[in-house]
Amino acid sequence: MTVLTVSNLRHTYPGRMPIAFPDCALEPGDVVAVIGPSGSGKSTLLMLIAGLLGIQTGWVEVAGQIVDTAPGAAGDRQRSRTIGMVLQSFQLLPHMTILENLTVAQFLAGHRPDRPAALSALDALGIADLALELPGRLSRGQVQRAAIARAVVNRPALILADEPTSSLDDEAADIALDLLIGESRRRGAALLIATHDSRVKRHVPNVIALGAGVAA
Amino acid sequence: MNLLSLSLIGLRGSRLTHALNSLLLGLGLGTVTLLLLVSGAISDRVVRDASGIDLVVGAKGSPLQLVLSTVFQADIPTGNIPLAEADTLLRNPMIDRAAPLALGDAVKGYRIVGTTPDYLDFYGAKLAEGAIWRQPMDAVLGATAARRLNLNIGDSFVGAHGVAGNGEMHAATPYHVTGILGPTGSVIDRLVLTSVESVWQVHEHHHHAEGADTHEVTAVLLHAKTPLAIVTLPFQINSQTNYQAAAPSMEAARLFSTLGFGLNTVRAFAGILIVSSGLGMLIALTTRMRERRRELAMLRLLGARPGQLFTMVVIEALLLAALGAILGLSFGHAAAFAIENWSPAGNTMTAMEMRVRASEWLIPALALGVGLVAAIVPALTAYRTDVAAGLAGSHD
Repeated sequence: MTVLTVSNLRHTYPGRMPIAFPDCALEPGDVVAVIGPSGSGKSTLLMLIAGLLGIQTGWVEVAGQIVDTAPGAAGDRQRSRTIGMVLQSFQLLPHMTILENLTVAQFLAGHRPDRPAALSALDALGIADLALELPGRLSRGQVQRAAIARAVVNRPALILADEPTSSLDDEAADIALDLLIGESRRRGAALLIATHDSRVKRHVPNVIALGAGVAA
Repeated sequence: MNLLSLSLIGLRGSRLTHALNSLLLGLGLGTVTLLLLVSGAISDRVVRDASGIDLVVGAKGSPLQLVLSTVFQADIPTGNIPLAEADTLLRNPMIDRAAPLALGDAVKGYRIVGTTPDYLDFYGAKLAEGAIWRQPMDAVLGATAARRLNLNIGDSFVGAHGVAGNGEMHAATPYHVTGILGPTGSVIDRLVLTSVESVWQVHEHHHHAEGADTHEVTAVLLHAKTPLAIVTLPFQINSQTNYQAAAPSMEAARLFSTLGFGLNTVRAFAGILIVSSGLGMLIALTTRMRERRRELAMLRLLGARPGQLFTMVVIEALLLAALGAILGLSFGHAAAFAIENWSPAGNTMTAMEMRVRASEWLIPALALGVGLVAAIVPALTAYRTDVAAGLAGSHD
């Protein structure tokens, strides 16, 4: 089953030129990078797919369901169950322990909080021993791992990563991408990475270049 | 994980600010609690101590002072009336029950009251042990007085001059304890009772020194046979004699109206504290909403519905309010306990029973009301969280 379908999608911010997004379709296990300079609409694309921005033109389908951006619970529940997100900064809730950051994602997705599953996700990323720490006590790399663990804990069909390697050095960026791609594939999820970091190309052969048409 | 635990986690952010606001709310509610306890205790005391006493007849002066000194044992008597006059009253056919009181001494703060056994009937007091006084210098102790003075049947003690008991000691005329009363919850618990003759015997030298050759009593407590007698007797006494009749119920009402201003002032102060704490809570929660803009957006991103964020903030405010209510009730009861137990021994005005009052439901209700009002604006802010704007900076 196709995990993500984007078709005829366009978005216009007030007073700015419309952004046209290339059509794309992702299958389980696919990894695609959306690359473009700042302001090219990478994050807008992720927000549209996640249903966090209203779709003006075109349509988006995630895990067989049209993305619902109408106000109400359906879109929120659909997003939390089918999509996992990794953000560039402010990835974790600061006053919750790492484990609570994962169980809150389970709770808000409408699942029963499952500590063993959350600990297993942390263990897979090598940070199970930090489960009871607050994010402020973790290194940047450890926070990145915890954010990946939270993104996959609900076994989403699609993982959206926004600038996951931003401000990481080469070695840390390689590790972060390896973990993200490895964990997505291990769980059979499709992964869409929005970035302006050309280092991502070394790990992701399928690239959509925004503003320059479909490159792959 | 559930909404309650999410709210508890949300409060971790500004623990000190939240704790201080709850403390402020607790102080306001504590003042209200203390007011409820004290006014309830005063009201109970007035009802119990004045029960069955329709009139007090004593020397002219302030009728309130006469009632306070003889019914509530809380003021200096207005003076004395001749025994002959008291006897006339005791024989009045309109009187159902009467008891003379002779005041003047105390033992370690507990007043010694010369009276007749009829006085016990006003309060339904019964002997717990021993016997009633039969001859001069026999004494029967109220339950509290016996416990606090640590006196038992057969013990002796001496009184000191003055109703506060801080005058010269009457060492030559010791009293002997013949009986101890069971507790009644009324003023009699804190008194030392004896015959009127005992008081006269102790003060014989005063009479000689003052050249008085007739005995006196301080006042007579009366229970009238009919309601009509309660109306006619004071008129008769006040217009035809040199002494006065005062009705405890009327004087108590006057006392409450006098106390009312003070109580209202304290109520207003408590109100200011409560409103301030509500505003403090509102400001703290609203400021936190700004600080938590990204956190709330992240929760929305993770699937939280706007209604869940609204409820989460309301629960946070209610938790703080509940803490304030617990602190308030604790402060109020602690203050009441201090007043009840650490006030001077014989101070009968503060000898009030500070029991839990049904009206204390007002405290949590008030706290939760303050919490709800303080929560509305920040909860609406949380409800309207814009995910894209909240996470701005995380994306382009």
